[in-house]
Amino acid sequence: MSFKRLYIFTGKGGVGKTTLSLAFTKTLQNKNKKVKLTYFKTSKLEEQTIQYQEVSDKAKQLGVETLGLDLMESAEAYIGKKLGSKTIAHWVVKTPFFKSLINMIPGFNYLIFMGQVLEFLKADPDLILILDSPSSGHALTMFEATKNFNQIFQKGSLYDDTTEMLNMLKSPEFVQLNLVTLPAPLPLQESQDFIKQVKAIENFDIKLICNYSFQNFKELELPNSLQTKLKNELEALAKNEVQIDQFIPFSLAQNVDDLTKELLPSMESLV
Amino acid sequence: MDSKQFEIFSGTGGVGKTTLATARALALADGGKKVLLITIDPAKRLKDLLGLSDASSGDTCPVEFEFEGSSIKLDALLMNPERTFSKIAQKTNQSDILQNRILKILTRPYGGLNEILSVVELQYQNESGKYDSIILDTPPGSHFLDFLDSIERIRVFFDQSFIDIFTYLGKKVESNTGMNFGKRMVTMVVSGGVKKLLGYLGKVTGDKFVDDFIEAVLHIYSTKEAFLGALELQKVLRNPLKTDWFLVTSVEQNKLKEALEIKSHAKDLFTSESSIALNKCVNDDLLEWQPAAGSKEAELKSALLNRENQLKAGLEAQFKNVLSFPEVLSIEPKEHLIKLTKTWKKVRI
Repeated sequence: MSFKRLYIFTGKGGVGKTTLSLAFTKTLQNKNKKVKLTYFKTSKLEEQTIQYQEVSDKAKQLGVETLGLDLMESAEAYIGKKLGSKTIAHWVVKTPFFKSLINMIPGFNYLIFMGQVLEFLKADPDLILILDSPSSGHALTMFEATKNFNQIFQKGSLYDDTTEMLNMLKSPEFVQLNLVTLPAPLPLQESQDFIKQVKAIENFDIKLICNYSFQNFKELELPNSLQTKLKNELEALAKNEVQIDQFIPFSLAQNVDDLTKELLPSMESLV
Repeated sequence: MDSKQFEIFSGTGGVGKTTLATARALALADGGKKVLLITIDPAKRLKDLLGLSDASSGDTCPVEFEFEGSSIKLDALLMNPERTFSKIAQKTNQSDILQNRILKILTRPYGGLNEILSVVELQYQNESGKYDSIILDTPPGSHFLDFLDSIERIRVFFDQSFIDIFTYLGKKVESNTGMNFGKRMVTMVVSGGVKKLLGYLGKVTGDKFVDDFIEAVLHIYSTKEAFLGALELQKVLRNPLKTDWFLVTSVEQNKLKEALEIKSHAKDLFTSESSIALNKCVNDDLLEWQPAAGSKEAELKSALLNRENQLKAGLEAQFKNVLSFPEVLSIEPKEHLIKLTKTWKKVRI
């Protein structure tokens, strides 16, 4: 079985990206792969880590290894490597000018993060990273940043780096995008739009995952509102024009351990 | 519920925030207010429903919506960073800024300047004085925090970065902005930090980038009035008599922590008096449902109700008002708008 090096989970907020990324990481770990759940701890310089405590807590509970990237540290590491000096890099990221430059241009953050993710993958050929990426708009900023900066720097070593990043990202052997959606008209339409927008950037390998499906309750005697919910789901799917690679049933599990166990079989088809 | 000059909707993402904000705008317009709805990135079907097109994005468009036998009228604006940037160029008489290679790329829809430019747009619309209420639908989740911070970033950027450069250059630059200033400036800036920094930048990016970059910075500086004007807005946005901030979340996703994080990050905006809108609550017939004990049905009912009740309890501990909106079970966005507009009209605080 051949594995990709980088799996990126993306989709709108609230579709279950983090839960699925965790379960997917666990699946590869069960196959004795060296795998880490990767997330961005901060999106601005000097930002306190507030958002991701929950992710690392859940990962710990499941025994999943994580790689949380901090913007300041990533920027310093990257610049240090480029200039061949940690001291200068340390000084550069501390200048007010650099800070406000990066804060004014959010796309720059993602360039640094993606650069770091690829550095980790280059440094260890056995490593596989699962990226729990920010919701769709952000993910587009992330991909587009690489391309935008490639066009901004027309030559020089940052240009060479972004070219290398683009080549890696667009290689279907290297990266797989797992787009998570819901079985309703608007989310399905948005996923279709997202696929179009992403494909316009590069020809990524994309798998579409439909979460919180109600179809498993088809046989039950449901009250009106839930029957309508199920009927709407089936109608939305009938009209849907994009191929769905995996359905994930709505789960009745009450904690992260049970939920992850339930998800493992569905994750197999995404490998 | 009384309207304010600004009503700002933020949320945890994927919760129906845009639809809820649109319904609020419709409810106010139906009550006779002049309303502008500014939205960042609505789904295509909602755009179609409101008659908004990408071609007209960045400008206000009249919208008509059929509701209970009459037609509600309001204005809507689809944010377009490129368009806002060209308004800045026009108002500050700096058409050159539109030609800079770097700025052209950064003002693309996902180029990264969206949040800052939406603050500027909001200020422009506010200055027009045409509206009783402006309803703003902000980007989801932590992107919303970027929106909040962008006001502060504008201040820091123009204060500190430029003080570094312009204290040294003084009026020479002010009278020459827009010129091919790059090379000269690099040689002129001897004040420690900036010169060294640009030197390092040149090493890895090539000189052409440094030139374009300095030009971009000077261009932005030449339009600083537009950006600093947006700072005025901050006072209004922080005045609870003029601005209401709504946090939106949904039962569909257990995002209690994220909602509370947004609240704590923006603690001077979300006060103990603030409201949270809880969307997609279960319908009454689920409550009346009596499945047999121990059945799969009973398990489903209790899972759905537990989810909602836990979330409600957590929110009630932190917000004075939890406004509940029902899950609308229709695949037509129009039905969603109608039902949510009706719910808004009934909200009493």
